Amino acid sequence: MKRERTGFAIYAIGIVLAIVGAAKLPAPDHQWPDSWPMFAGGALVAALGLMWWRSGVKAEAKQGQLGGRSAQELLSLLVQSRDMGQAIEAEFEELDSQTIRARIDALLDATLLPFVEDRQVLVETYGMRQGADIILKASAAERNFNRVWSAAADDHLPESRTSLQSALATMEELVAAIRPLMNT
Amino acid sequence: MPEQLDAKDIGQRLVAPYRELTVAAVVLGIVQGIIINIAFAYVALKIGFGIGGSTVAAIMGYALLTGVMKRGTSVENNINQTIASGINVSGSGVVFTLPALFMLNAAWTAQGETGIQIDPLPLMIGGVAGAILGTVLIIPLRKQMVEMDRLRFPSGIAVTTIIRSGRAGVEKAKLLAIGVGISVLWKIVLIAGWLEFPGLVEEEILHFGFGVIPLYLAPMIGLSVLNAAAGMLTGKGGLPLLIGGVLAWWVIAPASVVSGWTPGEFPISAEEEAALQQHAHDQAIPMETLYQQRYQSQTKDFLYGRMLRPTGIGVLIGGALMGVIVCFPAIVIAFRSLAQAAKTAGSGSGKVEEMPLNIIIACTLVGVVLLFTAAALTEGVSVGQAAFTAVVGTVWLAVAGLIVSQAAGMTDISPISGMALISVTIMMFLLGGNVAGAMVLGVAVCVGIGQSADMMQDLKTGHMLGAKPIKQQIVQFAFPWIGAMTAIGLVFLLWQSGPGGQGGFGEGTSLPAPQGGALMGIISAVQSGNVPVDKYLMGGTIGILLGAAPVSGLGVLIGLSMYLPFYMSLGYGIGCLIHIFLRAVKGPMFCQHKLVPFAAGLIVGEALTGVGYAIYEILVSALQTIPA
Repeated sequence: MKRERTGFAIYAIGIVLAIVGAAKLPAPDHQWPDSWPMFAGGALVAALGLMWWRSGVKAEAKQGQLGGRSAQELLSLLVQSRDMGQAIEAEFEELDSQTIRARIDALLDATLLPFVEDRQVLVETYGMRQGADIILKASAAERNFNRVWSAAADDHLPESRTSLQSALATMEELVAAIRPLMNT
Repeated sequence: MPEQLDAKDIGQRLVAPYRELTVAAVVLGIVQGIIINIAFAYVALKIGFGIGGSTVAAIMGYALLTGVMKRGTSVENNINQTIASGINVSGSGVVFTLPALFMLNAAWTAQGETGIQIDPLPLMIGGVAGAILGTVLIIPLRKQMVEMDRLRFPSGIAVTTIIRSGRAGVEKAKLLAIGVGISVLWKIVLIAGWLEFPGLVEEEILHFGFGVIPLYLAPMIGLSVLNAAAGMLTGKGGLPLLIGGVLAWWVIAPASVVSGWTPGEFPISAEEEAALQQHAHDQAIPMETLYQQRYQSQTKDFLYGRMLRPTGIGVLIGGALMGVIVCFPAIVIAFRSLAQAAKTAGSGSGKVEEMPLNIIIACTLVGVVLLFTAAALTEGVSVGQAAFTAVVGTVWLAVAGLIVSQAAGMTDISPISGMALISVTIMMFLLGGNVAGAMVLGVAVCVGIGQSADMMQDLKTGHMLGAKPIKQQIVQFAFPWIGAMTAIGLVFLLWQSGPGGQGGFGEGTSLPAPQGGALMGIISAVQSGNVPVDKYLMGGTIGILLGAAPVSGLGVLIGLSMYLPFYMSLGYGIGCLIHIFLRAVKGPMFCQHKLVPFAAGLIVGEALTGVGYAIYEILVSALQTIPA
């Protein structure tokens, strides 16, 4: 936490200096303001602070010390989302439109919305490529869950069910992909 | 409330496909888009800014598709509002730029100089090219902006809330209605000028300096609830806009004044001096006080126009580009998905959810050829210049579209006028000062960047409703050219409505076209070589550093805070603080289920009042032209 805060403080000071240095107008017949050394110095300080800040964030993500949920908790939310979706699918024939919407709302509130809120932890923990892959798949499933809700609200239950099956197929694929990460 | 269905209706729904891209939605979207386009183009010429039409189109869609036709669906209404807002926004791109060409021509002719040849054909081709390119160039970034960065797009949330109202429960519908009611009443009070009080409330802005805080610290806040509502929908993520505004106006501004970086005095004309003396006499105010107020006000304008705003534009550009680089792996995944869509489309499996990459490339080529044709048809532009500017214009359109989409996604504010300014500057430079050619490409770029932001906002709405992105992408590609054509025709018509067949808008008329006036100033500055290149480059470097921070969107938000007047950042920031406070006290679910519909209502209310006001203005003007 200390490295992250110190890095951020150095970065912020550098940015303020750079902006102040950049704001001054050049003298007539000059291309650059005479405050450019302040701008350049500030930019350099900000770059150094940025490196420190980023390394602090990365280290804390690895130790699970970033605020909010840990990467493992986020992956568990995805499994929970898949399970809740499967439960809706199993009972779908007996559910009316209003109940389907209520169950989808409950699924989103309990799993995917909290997941989305702390998604940055996945990027910091597993890197942008792997983190983005997980987030984008979860998002595709979320869009299909939203379609389940909309079709149910429009009293078109066949479309609602088709969309639920699409969402669950995406979630199955996602859960299979994250399984190796869950026991590390 | 949900409609009542009989057994026959339910039976039909069980066998019929789910209604999404339908003839009804397309026709309604086109008709609404044209009407809103004309109304808002007129208002933009009068007051200098446009109004988003998505919310209005969604309400009308709900009433007609669901209420009257009794078979409309949420995603069908989404198609309707996607078309309507696309047509409306492309008109805004035209009215922010094209009037400057007419006004410059009139000014130069009046001074005995050579006028500008204004040919509608290249302008129309340019408008169509912009509408196509703006849509197809932003599509590959959907996954990054909507799914990865989860940009809020407050107006997109408002539209979703409208489309879902009545289905999402009575309580949410009530909160939406309360928000609309408050916003409509408040806006009427503001438009009527009932709160106007010289020195305290002027032009919907509250001045809280009370003669104690210097004016160059911009002690003012906008009274529009729309800004605050956008902040309420964004929350913590939007706070850098407030922090950047405070840094710009309460740190850099006083530091610059104290360091002597602003002029010690501003020249005063004899007429202005006489007006000040008259004012001092009428109001019994000492001349010394008026001189001081004038100095502080001019210093504020100098700080904003010469120092903060140009630097902010640079920060915006650098920040947005760095944001793309940081998210590059996500963009690679998006491109793979588009390439996969091309293969799936070829297999005929019918499961294509995004516009395939090969179609995007083909449409981009068509757009570039149209842009080249528009430039080549303009007087004084060589074939080589036309080809070069078409390519550079397309690249710039993609960059500017990205910047405006990110800004709109984070704050609901689109810095289109700033991007128009840079677009015309770049084009004038590439075309050796050919104003007509620069404006043709400027119109194309402005139409395009508006389309990019609108496409992304509509895709956000679509994500929340569960719509198929490809259907929205097809209609956004197919119809917005109508808006560009309509607006170009309207601008020609209004100009010819003046005495002697010209001068229908501009300074001294009922349609002052303030954005056109500002663009005229920029063209004059470019012609005299007075472009703040240092600010753009240094700002760009700062933007890159901000964009690389482990805080999403920092570069764009800080850049926007320097680009916007402080009263807007402050209003938005207060909205963010309200969200943060309620979240801490009541929890995230309260914000999700109570604050969101209420804030969406505030946005909808202001948009509705804007439409009402636009129609009122048109009617008043029409009545004034009828001979007694």
